Amino acid sequence: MRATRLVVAYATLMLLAGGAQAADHITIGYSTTLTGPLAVEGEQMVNAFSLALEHLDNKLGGLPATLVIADDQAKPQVGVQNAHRLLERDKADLLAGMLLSNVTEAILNAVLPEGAAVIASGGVPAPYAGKDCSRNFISTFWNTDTPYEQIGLYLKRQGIKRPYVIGLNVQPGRDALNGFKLGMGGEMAGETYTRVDQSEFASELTDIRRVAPDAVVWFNPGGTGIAFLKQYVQAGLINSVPLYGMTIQTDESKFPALGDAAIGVKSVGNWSPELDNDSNRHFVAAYRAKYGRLPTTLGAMAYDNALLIDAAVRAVGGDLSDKAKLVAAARRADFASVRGKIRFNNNNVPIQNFYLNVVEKGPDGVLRNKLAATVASEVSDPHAKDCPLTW
Amino acid sequence: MSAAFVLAQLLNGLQLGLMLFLLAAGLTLIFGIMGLVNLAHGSFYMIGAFVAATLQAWTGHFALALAGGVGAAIILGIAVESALLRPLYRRGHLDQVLVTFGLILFFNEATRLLWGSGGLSMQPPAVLASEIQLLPGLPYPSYRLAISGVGCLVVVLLSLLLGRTRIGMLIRAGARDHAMVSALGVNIKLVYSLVFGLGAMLAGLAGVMTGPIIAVEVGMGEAILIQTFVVVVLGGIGSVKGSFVAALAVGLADSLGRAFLPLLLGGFLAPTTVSAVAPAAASTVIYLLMAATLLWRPQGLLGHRR
Repeated sequence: MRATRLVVAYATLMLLAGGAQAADHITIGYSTTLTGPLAVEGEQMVNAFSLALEHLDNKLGGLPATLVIADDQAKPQVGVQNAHRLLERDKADLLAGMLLSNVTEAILNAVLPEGAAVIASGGVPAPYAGKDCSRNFISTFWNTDTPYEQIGLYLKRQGIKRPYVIGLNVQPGRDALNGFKLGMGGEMAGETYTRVDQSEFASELTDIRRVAPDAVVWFNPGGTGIAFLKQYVQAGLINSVPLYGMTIQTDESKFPALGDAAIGVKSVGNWSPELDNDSNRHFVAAYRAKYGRLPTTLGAMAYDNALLIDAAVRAVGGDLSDKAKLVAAARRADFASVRGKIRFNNNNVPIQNFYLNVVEKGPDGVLRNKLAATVASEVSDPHAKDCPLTW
Repeated sequence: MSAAFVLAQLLNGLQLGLMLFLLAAGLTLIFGIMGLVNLAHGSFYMIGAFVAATLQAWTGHFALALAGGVGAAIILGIAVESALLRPLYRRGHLDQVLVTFGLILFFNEATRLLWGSGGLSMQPPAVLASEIQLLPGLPYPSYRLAISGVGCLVVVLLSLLLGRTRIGMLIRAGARDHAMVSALGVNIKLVYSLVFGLGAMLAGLAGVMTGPIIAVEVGMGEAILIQTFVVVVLGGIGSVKGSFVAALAVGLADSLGRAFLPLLLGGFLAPTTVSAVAPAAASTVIYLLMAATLLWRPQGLLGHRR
């Protein structure tokens, strides 16, 4: 009886107080892929996010934080189920993480109309970077078209005339290669899309040999991408036709499976372990000490994800009730990104630099991505102009 | 389009066919002779590749890796057969599918626990790491030719084993009427274990041989399982020779579809339409081939009518 009365009294107090109320605790619903070929990427994300929490004394914006992790199995419908469970059963204050952009899109479709906040580190689906951009969603990563647009602009500057593009026959694959065409302009020497379950590329490689392009641009971030790269190298093409893709296809998490086939592969990314700023040095050294290897790009984005939430919660004084206000605070937040200072575009996607990385074997016999050049600075993604939001 | 290009694509098709055959041979033996639907066939393929990649990383020898990978698949196959699958022979296919599907999940998670989720890398042996100039303007990776050679060797050896030896005779008799063979005093359980071990061995061999050209990763067996079933059904369930013919047909249809459909469609469609239509069309070619063949011969190319 006494307990009930206490609860009623407390509830009345809360009602009377009304409006802004600092929470005493924050729960993060973390969605990523932990089974299947992408599990290795999801693990890096969870590692990096947990490391950031450790660095923040398990607090986000001063509030004690609980991390609830859910595996989306790389399936949109599972991701949506998880998102509902995280928000309703686990009472998550916001959703974070996210890996595959088609899973993210399904989750956003389901939770944004309900007013949930999503502060993620996954690829931003094209619609949510453009016309469907939302006040409740922000990501530390990129829209996948953007690095490919930058590859296109870079290759054009390098005097490439006849590029050949090959990508997975899924929407992100087509978006990415369209981004490349946007940057490159002109005609492609060839264009091929491969099945998601295809691990044999002899036909496609023979076609590349027939066309004899001056560069090949590829999109295949899954396990079959490893097969593609190995076969490209074994066919001897790597020495005659340079291969370009995004760095997450050929970084730390792929090296065990690629082995020396990765040496000399060029890629464009938004982060490198070699970036010279305090936050990055601290992150890379701590990650290496704890997990015995260099972090990946997706790991770095997940680390930024935690720092961004921390800064946003601090900025709203711990009031987690107004989700749009929380996300607005995130986009203005002054946080020590591992990419140095970044700011967000009107569509809540970072405006950031892009770098050219080349895989090389260090003197210790370990593969690493060498930061070779800055490809472009302060880049906006191609969809931002379609986003109606103003701030 | 030069003759060398067409020739190279034909070779690609044959080569893919022989790779598929390595996997299908074991599946059709188990399916045809024991009447067992073994969805976990791809797991033996995966275990073979993982063990081989590990051994190659430790010792640097491809031959040792090959022996270890194939050996591991055999041991695992016989262990699974005697411990789990024996009670299932009398049960329906649905029970078998349920248990062997469970095995896929089990082996995937076990592999992840043992080796992590990052996958492993495997290299071709040093002597086969380069390319061979087959004809002027037609270079071909020599390791791929080696895979084709192993595929041809397997079909010859299997035909000899099944058609010309005593154990082959028992296997064929067991497939026709296992109760009668058993009544004649033959230990039919042992024969079944041998067949299953042989099937697992072929899967392991396929895993080791394809390891250097694909990604050795958890779940690699499932990606290729559907095409393998297409080969087994198309060739006629239980017929090794049928599987061989069907594997070549599927390999050729798939490779040539991917290679020539875009060029063919490019003759009368706009480039953007071609890039949208061709991949989808190419991926249906093998299923159209299967559907057409089964309409004409429901028992498969070389299968027996039951």
